[in-house]
Amino acid sequence: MTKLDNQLQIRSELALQFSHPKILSCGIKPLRVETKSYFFNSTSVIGGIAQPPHDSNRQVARREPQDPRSNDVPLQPARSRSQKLSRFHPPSDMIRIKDRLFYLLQPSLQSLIHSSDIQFPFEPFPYQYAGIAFLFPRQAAILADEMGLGKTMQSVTTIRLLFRANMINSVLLICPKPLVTNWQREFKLWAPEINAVTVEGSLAKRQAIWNANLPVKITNYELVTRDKRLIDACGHEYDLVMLDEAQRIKNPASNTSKVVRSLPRQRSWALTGTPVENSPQDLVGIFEFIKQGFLKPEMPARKIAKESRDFILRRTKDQVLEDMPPKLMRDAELELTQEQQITYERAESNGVVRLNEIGDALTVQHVFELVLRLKQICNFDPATGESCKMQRLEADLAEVIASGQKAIIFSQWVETLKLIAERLPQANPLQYHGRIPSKQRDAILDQFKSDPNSHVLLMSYGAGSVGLNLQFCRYVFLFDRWWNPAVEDQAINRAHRLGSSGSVTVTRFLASNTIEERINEVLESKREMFDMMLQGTDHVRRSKMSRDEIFGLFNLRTPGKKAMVA
Amino acid sequence: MNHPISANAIEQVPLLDEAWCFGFLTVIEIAGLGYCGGYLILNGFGHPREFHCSLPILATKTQQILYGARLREHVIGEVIAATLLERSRSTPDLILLDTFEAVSIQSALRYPLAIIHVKDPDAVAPSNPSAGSTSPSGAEHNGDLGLPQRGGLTISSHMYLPLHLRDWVNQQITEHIALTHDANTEIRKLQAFSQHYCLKEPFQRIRDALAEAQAAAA
Repeated sequence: MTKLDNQLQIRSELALQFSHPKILSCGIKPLRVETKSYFFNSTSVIGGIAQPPHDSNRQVARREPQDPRSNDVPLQPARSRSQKLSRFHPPSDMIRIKDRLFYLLQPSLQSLIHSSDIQFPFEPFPYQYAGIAFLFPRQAAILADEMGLGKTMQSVTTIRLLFRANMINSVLLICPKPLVTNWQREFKLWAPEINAVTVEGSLAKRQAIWNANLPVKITNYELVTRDKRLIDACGHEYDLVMLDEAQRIKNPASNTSKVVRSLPRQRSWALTGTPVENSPQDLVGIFEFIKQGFLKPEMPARKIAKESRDFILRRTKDQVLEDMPPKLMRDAELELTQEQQITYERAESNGVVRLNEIGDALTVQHVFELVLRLKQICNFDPATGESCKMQRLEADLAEVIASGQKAIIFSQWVETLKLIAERLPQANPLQYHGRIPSKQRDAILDQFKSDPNSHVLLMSYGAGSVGLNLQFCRYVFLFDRWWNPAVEDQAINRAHRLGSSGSVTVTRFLASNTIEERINEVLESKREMFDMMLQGTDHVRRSKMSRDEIFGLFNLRTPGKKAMVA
Repeated sequence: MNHPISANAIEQVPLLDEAWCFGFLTVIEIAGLGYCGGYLILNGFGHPREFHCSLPILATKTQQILYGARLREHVIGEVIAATLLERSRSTPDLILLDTFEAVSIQSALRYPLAIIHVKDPDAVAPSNPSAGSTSPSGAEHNGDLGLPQRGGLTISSHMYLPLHLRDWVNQQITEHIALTHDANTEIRKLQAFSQHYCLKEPFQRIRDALAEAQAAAA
């Protein structure tokens, strides 16, 4: 041991003898937690007198006969506990956290309804409950379900629940004129306690209706435009303005759009199966009504799709209906008859020559005229009456008639429908188009449904593509093609909808190597655009039939545009 | 302690009553933020009366060392659950938990707790419910009744129940219920409630609301 070691040892011993050990105290701060508390009125959010829920496994009868003009839908088997329940989700523009939590903490809509005194004529489908849960908390909404899924029932039921909850007191519903009676019928069925009054009659009567405090007023687009002054004079603010077939206001510059946008209101809902018909701008137009300025025309399509997602609910039959009857699509590509071919080629070559002669004064309208002329020849040769489509149609219909089935045949021209009618006396065809007075139309549909000898209904796209339920038909023929695939889908869905009695076969006639084939290519790209906008798929295709595309149908150079150098 | 059991003890399930009051309490762990809890009080029809939620808390290093294996139980039960229950204005008939650690608050309560143990529906048969599964909170199961046990604490509550209620408890396919008190009346109410609502469903509401509250706070 060195001298130094000895000294250290002595010091340590002395320290132990004369000092206390060093103690380090460590205070523990107790864990505390911050909390937030929310207190709710525990009466039912959907209003009315709460009562013990009904038996959740109750069986409800299947809906029987279908009214061909009813928008309501047939009944599914009663829900079971394994069924997906729908809950409220607050929309993104709901600001207050308490409001958002209030919705999130509610039980399922099914539970709320089953624990209320609300009665439904038929048990809604689960996706319909989801649609109601979507609409209920929303100030701005587009219900864009595919045709036939019951947008009417979902919106009427939501309105009913909002009335019961004292969240609304006045509703203005605007729809196409032919659908006014349908809406009346649906209100009686799904919300019988609500007095829905149609705005109609003389000026004085309409004025009285506009002035009256009524829970629900139903009017049509033309009338609301015509009565703009009367409406303004009332100074009435509606708790909800709802547009049916809202694609009618897709052009924000149109007078109709301006008028409905000017209506004072709290909530703005739009119903449409085709929110995007031609281009993403269609959606921007509808948003100008439900949430003005939210979407900008200059936004890229992808951004429009993303921004609008929270406000749109879109379901297709394939997505929600397991028991939907199959839809068999057949593209009948037909060769023109010899006579048709001669007439067609002559018309096209002469027409193109004339278009070229017009030069820079050429307009889209000039091209359209030629397109329509050629399409008409594809239907019937005006000189000889020859028609490859008619030959095929007669053959197909023979089978339809023999099996006792019924078919709907669509064309864009009344003249074509009349020609078809002349050729099909054995099918006792009925006609439903713009030249048939409105008052006669219901009787025609009744006859078509009930008369076993009436096998064929000839419809124009304009008159028969929306709002009609013809699900007893198993066959649909598109004799010629519409410009817009959404309108074609609407036409097909007159027959292919809930309650269809079996598979629905859709035959689309197409004359090969003609303008119809070229237009079809454009339509297909539009269909893809629609899917991208509403289903979030990634592929972006040119979505609008541009001027270039229209002129391109005949390999014409767009006027005012420099020729491309190869 | 054990109730006399007889066939005559079977009583009719009562009708739901709006005045009934059930509390549902859960605590979740958010990565990087810690634990936060939600306490939802429903009336007998399943409508919300009150909701209380906590902001996330993380234990300090010192607390982790000192509480050791009991840290989770302390944070979830004695801190979060206890604080949430203090905030409530209602007196529930029964409180349901799906977080086992929160059961440590039982000694401070005068009303019963029920543990809803969510089983893995694919892995467990009712007759042999333990089968090696674990509860959401990581608790292990008692092999006989599928009841959670952790840290030596076992809830052997079925002895509180008369036979017909035991049967109901045992017949639950997706939930097992463990009671901390003698609660025949309350469990009958719960039985009635469960005929209309899945007992797990309110916990999902709480989780959704906690996520919403977190998003709002962020």
